[in-house]
Amino acid sequence: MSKLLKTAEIGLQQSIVYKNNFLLGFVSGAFGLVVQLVFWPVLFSSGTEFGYASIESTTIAGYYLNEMITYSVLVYFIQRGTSMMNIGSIIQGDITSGGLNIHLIRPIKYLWTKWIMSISGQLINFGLSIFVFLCISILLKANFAFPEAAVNVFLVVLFVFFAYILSFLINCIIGLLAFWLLEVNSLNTFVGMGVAILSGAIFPLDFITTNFGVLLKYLPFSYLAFIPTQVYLGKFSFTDVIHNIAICFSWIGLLIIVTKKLWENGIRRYSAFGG
Amino acid sequence: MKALRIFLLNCKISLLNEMAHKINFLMRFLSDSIYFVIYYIFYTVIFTLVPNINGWVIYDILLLMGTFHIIISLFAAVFIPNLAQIPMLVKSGGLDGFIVKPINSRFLLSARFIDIGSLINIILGVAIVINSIIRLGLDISTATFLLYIGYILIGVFIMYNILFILICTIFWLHDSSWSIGFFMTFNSFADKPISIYKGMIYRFLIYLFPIALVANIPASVMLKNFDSNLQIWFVIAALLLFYFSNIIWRKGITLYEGASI
Repeated sequence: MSKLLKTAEIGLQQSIVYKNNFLLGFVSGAFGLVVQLVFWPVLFSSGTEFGYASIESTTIAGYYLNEMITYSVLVYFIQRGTSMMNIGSIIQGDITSGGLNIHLIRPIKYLWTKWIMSISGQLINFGLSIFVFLCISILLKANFAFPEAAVNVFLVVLFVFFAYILSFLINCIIGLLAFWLLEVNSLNTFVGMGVAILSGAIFPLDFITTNFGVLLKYLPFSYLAFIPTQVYLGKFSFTDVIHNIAICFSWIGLLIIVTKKLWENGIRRYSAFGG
Repeated sequence: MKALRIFLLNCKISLLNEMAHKINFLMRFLSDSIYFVIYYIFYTVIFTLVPNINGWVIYDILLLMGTFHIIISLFAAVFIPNLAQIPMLVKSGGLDGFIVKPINSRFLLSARFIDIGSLINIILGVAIVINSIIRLGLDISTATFLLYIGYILIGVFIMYNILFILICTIFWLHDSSWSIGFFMTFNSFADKPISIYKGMIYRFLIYLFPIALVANIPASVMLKNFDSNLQIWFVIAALLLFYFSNIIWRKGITLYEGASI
């Protein structure tokens, strides 16, 4: 236990050292959010051209403007709070440079170290994300949808935690592919961009009205952005929530198995270059 | 003339370097195109739900996006690899070697290497623009085409000057490695129709950091919905940015202390 606590402490300290990077990431990422906040009202204002009385009464794929704005803001914060894209690169770097050697002789499992360090490192980011989110929601309160019940807030936190686990596992799997591919940076970029679409970070998955859109809601990526926002917006019934928790658990279980298998097989191939 | 000869020689060296890693060359093309593909999907989905956005139909927007893709690819090919090295050169004292050379040091720092991988990305932008022109049934005269090319080059020049100003903050802040990432996300404003911006955001993106003009002005020439005043401002803004960036560079260089930063 003390080993895990020490690892968590190191993760927390590292996040404090790189706090400027986080703040800059936060500000530059906010440009994308501003574009969305400008874009959605323009899109909804076109609604009057196809029969709606006003911008407020316009719905696009079942979303009112205030819900769409809330969706964009929430997705931005969930992504900032749970983004673990660098885990894949770190694992790849350790494997290809031989940096993994030192971890193998330590009395704590490598992937556990990465998990504890990332989750403790994200604590400050997560706290700051919640604070800024509250400020923005107050600023935009006229165009913002607030949760109908306190239980929704609790459920969102729960789903964000699931998003965190899934994000970690997906990035671990990409990083571990370095045992076979050696160079996974391009793959990381591809997956990152693909996940942006598949998770609903660019637009809600409801916008895809075909069966493909329905399929996307069942993939693990939808739990990284789309599903938590649906819970917040109160678009899920109690049964839907239970149903999604069950699916999410299944994905987490499956991805843990894949990660373990990749690690076990990969470590047998590992040649321990350099280090 | 000497500058042009050096530039062309650098192009040749860069091409030889890229050809040594052909697979990487292909991967770069694919990964650089993904942003465009994502927004292509985004607009395709959006236009299944609404007939137009502020009067813009899908091919108007694709023409704008294709134009921006050409601009950003040119910019990424010629300027990013060079400007990205300035913070490191200032910190390490490597800038000394550039200041003493008998050629304009700003030019040498800005156009030393050419990233041919990014240059290839222009093909995608050109293909999207041509497809949009055909779909919209636009009649493009030689004068329109030449004006379009000219405005694309001015757009690249505006982007270069804005990033150069951000990079130059290193002389005061002692670190500007953040500026490229910051600038690239700032570009999210550039490939949207200018008419969606209102009030303070509009003034900021047109008059202070005219990033919203870089693709909108060339695209407006093709779409024949241009505003002559904005076109004039576009050219003036490019010149003003160059003038101010030069002043900032000269002021900054006086603060440079060799390898001691």
